[in-house]
Amino acid sequence: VTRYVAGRLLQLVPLAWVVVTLVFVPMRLIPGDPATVLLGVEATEAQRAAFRARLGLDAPLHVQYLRYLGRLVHGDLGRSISYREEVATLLARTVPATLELASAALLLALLIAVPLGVLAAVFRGGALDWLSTLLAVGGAAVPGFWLGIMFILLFSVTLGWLPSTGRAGPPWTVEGLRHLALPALTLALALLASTTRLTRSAMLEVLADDYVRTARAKGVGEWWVVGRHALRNALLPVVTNIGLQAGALLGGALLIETVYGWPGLGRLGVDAMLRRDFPLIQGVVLGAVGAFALVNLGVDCLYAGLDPRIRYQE
Amino acid sequence: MISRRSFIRLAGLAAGAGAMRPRRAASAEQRLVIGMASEPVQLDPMRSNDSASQYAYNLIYDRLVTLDDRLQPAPAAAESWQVSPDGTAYTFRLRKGIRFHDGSPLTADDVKFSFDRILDPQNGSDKRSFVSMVKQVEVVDPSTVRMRLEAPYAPFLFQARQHIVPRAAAEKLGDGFTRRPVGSGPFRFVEWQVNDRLVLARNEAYWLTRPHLDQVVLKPIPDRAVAASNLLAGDVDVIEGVSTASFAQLQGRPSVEVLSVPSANYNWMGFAQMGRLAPFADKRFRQAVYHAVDVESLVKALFPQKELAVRAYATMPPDWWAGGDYGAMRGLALPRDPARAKQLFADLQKDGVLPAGFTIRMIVNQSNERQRIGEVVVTSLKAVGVPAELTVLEWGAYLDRLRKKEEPLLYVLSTIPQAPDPDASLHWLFYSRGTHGGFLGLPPDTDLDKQILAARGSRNAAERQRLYNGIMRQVIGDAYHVPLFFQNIVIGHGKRVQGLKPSPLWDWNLATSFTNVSVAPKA
Repeated sequence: VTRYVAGRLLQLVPLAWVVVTLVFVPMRLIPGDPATVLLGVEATEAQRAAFRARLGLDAPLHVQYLRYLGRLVHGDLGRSISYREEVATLLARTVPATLELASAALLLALLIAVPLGVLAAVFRGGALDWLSTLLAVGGAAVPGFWLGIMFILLFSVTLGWLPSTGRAGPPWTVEGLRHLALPALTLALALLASTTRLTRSAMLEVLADDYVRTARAKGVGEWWVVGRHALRNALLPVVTNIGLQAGALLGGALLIETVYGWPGLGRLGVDAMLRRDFPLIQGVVLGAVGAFALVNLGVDCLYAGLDPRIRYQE
Repeated sequence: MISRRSFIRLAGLAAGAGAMRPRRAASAEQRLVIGMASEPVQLDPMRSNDSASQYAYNLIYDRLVTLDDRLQPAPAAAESWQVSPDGTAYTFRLRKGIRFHDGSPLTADDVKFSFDRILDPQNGSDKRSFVSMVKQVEVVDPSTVRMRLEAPYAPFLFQARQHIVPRAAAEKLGDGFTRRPVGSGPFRFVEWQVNDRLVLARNEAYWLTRPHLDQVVLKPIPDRAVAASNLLAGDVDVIEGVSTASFAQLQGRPSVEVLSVPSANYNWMGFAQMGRLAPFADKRFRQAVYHAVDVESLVKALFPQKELAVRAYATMPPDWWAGGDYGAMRGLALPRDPARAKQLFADLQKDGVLPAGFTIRMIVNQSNERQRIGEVVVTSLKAVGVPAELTVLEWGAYLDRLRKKEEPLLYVLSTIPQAPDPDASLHWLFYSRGTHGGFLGLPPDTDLDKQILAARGSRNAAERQRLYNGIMRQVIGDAYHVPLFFQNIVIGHGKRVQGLKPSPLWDWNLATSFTNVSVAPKA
C-alpha cells in the first residue's frame, strides 16, 4: 500500500507541471499586470517600469517561465508580489484552514446523507423519502453564498448562538468548533444533496439484488441485511461521487470562505488574481491540486477498505 | 453582591489610581474590531497608497505634520515649522521625547530617511509624486529638519504629512519591514494573518495621549452585505463603506448606529483621449453626452438616502472652496435635454465630426454602482439615437484599457484628493503630464497647464482662488468630464463604540488630538 501511495504521489509531479504551465501563460496574457494593479491609478510609467524590472517581469515570457520552473524544482515557490512574503509561508497558513473546512463539511455531509439515504430507500415513498428529496433539490438549488448570509442572520444575529465570522483555533477546542460550525454546515449542504440521492438509489438497487434476497431467505434480520450486506456495497458509488465532488467542494469552499471570513486558500487565491500576484496564483493552484489529489487518494484507499475485491497492484 | 459592570468600573478606577491592576481587569479590555472593505497591501508606508494600507499606517506611525479636525495642518512629529520668505524652504522643529515602538528615539535623521526613501526612484514608491517637489532634505541638528523645494509649492504642508519610520529598523529588516513594521504612532504592530486579521496594541508610551483602546483588529470583509451581518451579530464593532442595501438594513436596529460624513470622494464620468481623438475632442460632443444623461435622477437612483452621497458640480465639495464660487459651478451643470442632445449630435454629423453609425464605447469596472451608471448612460445615449455599448471589466483590465490611450472611451472613476487643497485634485485630474491628464490625452503646455502650475506656486490665497475659479470654469464648462457625485463616508458601528470621528479624507482617527475612541464594556 505504501508503494501504491508513493506511486500515486509521484504521478502528481507531471500533473502539477501541466497545471502550473496552464496557469502561468494565460495569466500573463490577460490585460492588467501587477504594476498596473498594485501601483494604482496614480503611478507614472517610469514607476511602473521600475517595479516590473525589480520583479523580473520585464524579461521575455519564456525566460520568466524557465526561471520559475528552475526555482520550483528546488522547492522554491517564490515570493508573493503583493504581500512580500514567501508563497510557501502563505500556503502553510491557509491550506490547513481550507482542508479543515472541507473535511468538516465532508464528514458532516456523510453523517447526515448516508443514514438519510438509507432510511429513504428502506421506507421508500414515506415521509423520510419525501424529506430527503426536498433536501436534495433544495441543497442543489440554493446558492451557498446566499444561504451563508441567511445562516448568519438566523444563527448569529437573531438567535445569537454561533459567531458569524473568522476561525478561532483548532476544531477540537470549543471556540474553534463554534466558528467552524456554520461554514462547514453551509458547505456540507451542497454535497449533502447529491450524496443523499446517490445513497438512496444505490441502496434501492442493492436491496433488489439476489444476494440480499438470499440473506433474507436465510433468516438474517432486516437491519443486519440493510446495514451489513446492502450498505457496504451501496457505498461504493457514494464514495466515488465524493472523490469527484472534491473539486466542487474546494470551489464551494472559496465562496463560503468569503462569507464567513475563513482565512483559507480560496480567498487568498481570489485576492492574488485581482492583484495579479503571479507567484501567489501559481502557488495557490498548486496547493489546490495537492489538496484535490490528497482527497482522491483518500477515497481510493477507502475503496480497498470497503470492497475486499479491490486490491491495488504493488 | 457586586455586579459585573460595577466590578469593571472599580477595576478601571483601581488601575487609574495607579494601584496594581487586578487580574480580572483583562475582562474590561477594550478591543475594537474593524470590518474593512479590503486588506492592507503593505505595512511599510513607503510602499502602497491603497486606502486600507493607509488606515493601518495612520495607526502605526506618526506623520511629520497632521491635520486637525478642520483639515488644517497641525503639529505631529514636527512641533512647529517655519517657511522661508520665498516659500522654498521649510524648517521643521521636531517634538522631543518621541520614541518608536522599539524604544529608539525619533530623530531628524529618521525624518530625512523617511522622505529620502520615498524620493529615491530606485524604490518605486507610490508616493513619490506627492513629495516630488522636494529637492533636498537636510538634517540641521538632531531635532531640526529643513526641506528645500524645487519651486514654491503652496500646499506643501499637506504633502509633508508623510509617515516617519525608524531608520535603523527599516534598514535592518529591509523588505521584511513591511511584515514587521515599527512606528511611533498610537498603536504598535502585534501580528498580521493574511486575509484574516491585522492586530495592533496600544502604544503605552504614546506622546500625545494614552489611547483608550487596548487592541485594534483590522479584519478584511470583502462583501458589504456580509460585513453588515457581522456587525449585527456583534462580531465586528465598526464597518466601513456601508452600501445602499445595507444602509436600510442597519438603520433602525437598536444595537447599531450609522454615521455619515460628507467626503471629498469625487466620482465622475470622463471622456478618455478627449484631448486628441475625434469626436470626443469636440466640446459639442461632450456636451451632447452630458445633455443626454439625467445625472440628478441617476444619483438619486443609486443612493436613495441622502446620507449616502450628494450630487457633484465641481471636483471638490463646496465647503472646500474657501469662499470660491461653487454656485457658479452649479450653474454650469447641464440638465437632461434629449432634444438639445439630438440637435448637437446632428450638427456634429453634418460637420463630419461624428461619423454616421459611430458607436460610443463605455467601460466601467466591476462594481454594482459603476455597472448601473454604465447601463443608465448607454440607455440614455441610445434613447437620443446614438449607438452605444457598455463593457464591464475587472479592475486590472479596466486600468490597462485606459492606459493604452488608443481609443475614445467613456469611463467612470473616483478619487479622494490627497489633501484638502484644490491643487490635489486639479493637478492630478487635468495637468497634461499627470497620470489622469494622460488618460484624457490633454496636449502639454496649454494655458490650462500654465494656470495649474501658477496656482500651486502662488503664495497669495486670493490669487490662487482666482486661478482655480478660472480652471474650474474651463474644465466644467467645456465638459472635460461629467461630475457625478461625492460619496459620503458611511460607517456602521455598535452602540458601545464611542468617539468615532472619521475625517472627510477618510482616516479612522482612533487616538488623535481631537478624539480618543473607546468601547464601553458589554452590558
